Amino acid sequence: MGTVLDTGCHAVAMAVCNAKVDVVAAYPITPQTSIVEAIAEMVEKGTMATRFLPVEGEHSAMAACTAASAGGARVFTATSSQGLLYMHEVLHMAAGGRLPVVMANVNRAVFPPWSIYVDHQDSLAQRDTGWLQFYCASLQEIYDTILQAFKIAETVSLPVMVNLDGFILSHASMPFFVQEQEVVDKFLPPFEPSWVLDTTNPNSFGNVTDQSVYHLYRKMLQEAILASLPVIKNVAKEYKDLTGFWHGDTFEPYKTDDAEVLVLSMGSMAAEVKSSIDMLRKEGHKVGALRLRLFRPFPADDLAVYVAGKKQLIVLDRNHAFGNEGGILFNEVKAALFGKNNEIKLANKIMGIGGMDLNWQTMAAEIRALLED
Amino acid sequence: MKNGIDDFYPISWPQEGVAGATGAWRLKKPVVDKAKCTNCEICWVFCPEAVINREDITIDYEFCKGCGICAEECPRGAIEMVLED
Amino acid sequence: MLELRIHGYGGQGVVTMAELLALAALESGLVAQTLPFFGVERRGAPVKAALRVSDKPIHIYSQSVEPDFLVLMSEKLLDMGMNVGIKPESNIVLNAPANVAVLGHLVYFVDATGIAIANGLVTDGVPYINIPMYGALCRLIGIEAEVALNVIKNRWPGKVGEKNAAVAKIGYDSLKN
Repeated sequence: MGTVLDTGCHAVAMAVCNAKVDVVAAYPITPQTSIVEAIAEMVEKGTMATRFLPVEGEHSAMAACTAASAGGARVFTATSSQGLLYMHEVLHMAAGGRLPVVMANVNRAVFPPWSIYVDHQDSLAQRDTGWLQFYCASLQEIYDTILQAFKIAETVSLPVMVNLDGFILSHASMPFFVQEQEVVDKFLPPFEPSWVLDTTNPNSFGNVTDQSVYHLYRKMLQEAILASLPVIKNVAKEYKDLTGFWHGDTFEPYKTDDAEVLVLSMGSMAAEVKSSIDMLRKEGHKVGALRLRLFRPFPADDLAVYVAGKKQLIVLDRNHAFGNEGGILFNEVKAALFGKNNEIKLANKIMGIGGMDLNWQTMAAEIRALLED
Repeated sequence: MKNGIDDFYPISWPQEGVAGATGAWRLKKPVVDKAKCTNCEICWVFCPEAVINREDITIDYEFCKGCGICAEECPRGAIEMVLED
Repeated sequence: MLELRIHGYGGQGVVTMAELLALAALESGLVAQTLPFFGVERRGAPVKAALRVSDKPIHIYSQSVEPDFLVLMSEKLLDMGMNVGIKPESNIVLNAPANVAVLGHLVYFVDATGIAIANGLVTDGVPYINIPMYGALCRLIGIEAEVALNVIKNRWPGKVGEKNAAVAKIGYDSLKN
């Protein structure tokens, strides 16, 4: 294919097409709609040999995805905001059922009042569902991460959510490289499940358990999520070796080596903050940036390595951890570093809620105000 | 506090021009031909912005967005959509 | 990096024009980004889009506040204060039959509406002003005419593309200041 100029939503659809997905079940919601439209169009034209299920809501979309996945299919869905919240119950089913469903979530603020613009409340509210979570910072990364997500999901038998900022990454048109089908086929061979729901060999799924059994499944789920970390790293490296594209595995560092202060954030703001770092460095501040690419499993050990010897870590959150001080990422960082690095000073700023524009100048001003000298 | 209600409730009140002077959105404006108009009030019923005066079938161009629904629905063909200059 | 902020009304093809400009930049070996601002998606509502062109990868995703060029698809938008907040070095590009002085800014103009009407690029009484404006903006940001017209011909293969390309060329040649 080569380099194309298109939107983030279409980057998702192109990756899903390249991944030769068997089943897509989805319901449209702003700003995810053009993902579903593009997939529906490709299915209609015959470009994709995919069964498209136009369901009546997101709860049904995820129910159909889990069922199709349990039937041995490679499945995909996409949603946003209220749609993701509506799916919540079935998200647990996909993770607890150890089903490798892949989903693109276009980050959007949560009602009420209504907002169609970006923040990370919708996906971070799904933190404890057992899904792996990625946050992208470019259109190229969206395309590449969707392909990586299928490989990771099917290797570790866990569902993966790939997040992209609504209207910013989803609707910006930028050039990105689309791989030749043979390259994708080499990276992502057909899905071969070790277990399927099969009418010729009947068995049941998610049956009633007693107290002696249930907790074992939960423990195995937790262990599998934590154990997925090396697989995620390997897949990112394998993708890089094959295609040359690399966006970091767990973190993407920017000028961190000689920095005394690091700024941690996720999504498109973490791309733009690089310009804030450049500006602050010109002013003489020894700052660097860390972009968190993988939110679940949380790469606590990698974080400890990056912040070792640093004076301060400033966390920028595009969400609220309601009922606790600071944002969700800030609380994750505190939990991850406690006992590993108690010396580093931590600071937090919540910004960009409901699509409030975050340019590098305003982010630089916020960072400057939080610097401890 | 507004209307005796605390500010933290995410509520809003109906108000003329709450979305700004939406008349500036028009590409075409509806013009009523009084010779054809029978004051049947169909346009008043269908106008989604309530900018048509029921009494004399006049249009408030400050807020009319130029959607053309009135012209489409008028049974006498008395409303024409004219390109804004 | 060169930054343009384009203001127009829904239905004037602002987003399409920004995408065509980005494609023309890409064809010229540059990196480009269009960032539409989505408000009310209705015909006639004010819309705006940012276009960034650079010879290096772009990692800026914020709205365009201080563009190098402020593009207004209608003179009316000047009355609505769309030029408020731009920097002193910002140039303004107007769809207007003649130049309009804006204190402190260099103003370029092209009669996109007149060109579209004169060349029959009109549907349902509405002229396609984005095509001549596209031509003018290509010249402004330094894209070669041949590249600019090929983008149009590829987008609309056949007769439609030929006609649009011819009108875009008139726009390309008609930009004045």
